[in-house]
Amino acid sequence: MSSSAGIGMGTVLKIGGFAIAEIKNISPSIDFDDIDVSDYDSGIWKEYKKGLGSCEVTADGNWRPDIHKTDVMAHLVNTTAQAYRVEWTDGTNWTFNGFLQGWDGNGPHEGALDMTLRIRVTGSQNYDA
Amino acid sequence: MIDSAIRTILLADATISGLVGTKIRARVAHDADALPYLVYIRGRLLPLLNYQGQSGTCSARFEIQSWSDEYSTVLTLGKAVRDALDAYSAGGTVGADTILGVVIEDEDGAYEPPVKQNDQGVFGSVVSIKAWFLE
Repeated sequence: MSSSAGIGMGTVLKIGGFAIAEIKNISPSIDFDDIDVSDYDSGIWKEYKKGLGSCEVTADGNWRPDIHKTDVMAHLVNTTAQAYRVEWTDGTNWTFNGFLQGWDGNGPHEGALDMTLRIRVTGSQNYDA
Repeated sequence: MIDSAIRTILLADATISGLVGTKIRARVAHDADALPYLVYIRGRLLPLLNYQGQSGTCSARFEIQSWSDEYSTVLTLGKAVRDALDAYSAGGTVGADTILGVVIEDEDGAYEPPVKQNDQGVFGSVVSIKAWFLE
């Protein structure tokens, strides 16, 4: 049976409506806190309740200092959340508000300049906008 | 093309051209080529990719072989090849080609022994490089 698995090629990451150039990997991550509610009656197994969720998106790309100084670096000093959008290749779009929490660059002697963006999502995410 | 740019750089070096003239061949030397001569072989070319496809930046590996019946000549040629290409370690333009950088990876020695009793062996030097360029 053939698979309908999607591929990453063609995916677009946008900040404030502008596509970020040279992105080659996007990794969203969602976690919920677990709240330990174990008590004397729990026996030998701990009990939990689900707490608040948080989402972080990391994006790897080829680092272009010339174009990313405005497309990316300028967002590092933004203090207000901005509209982010990930356009997956199957036509699904993820939208959320967030801010650029971190940026890591890498300039190896024998390799290409690359970078990683760390985006902290604030609030909920819309998975089909 | 990066291949012709590499050849142009080697040809422009006075030490190299003084020893081999224009006998700098792609992949295989000509039948009429007398020693010494250079052969360059392009290996793996890697286009730098992103989600939209090829970024326009590529890297390609090359082997530049120097061949001579004089051991000292291949040592001179090997050093000259490294120096000529190392001048582009921080990039430059060669004609219409933009080279972003050249990394000299290593230089290896080679020797082709004689096949017949009265033949002479041939000494070689193989310089391996990685060239980054815009396509």
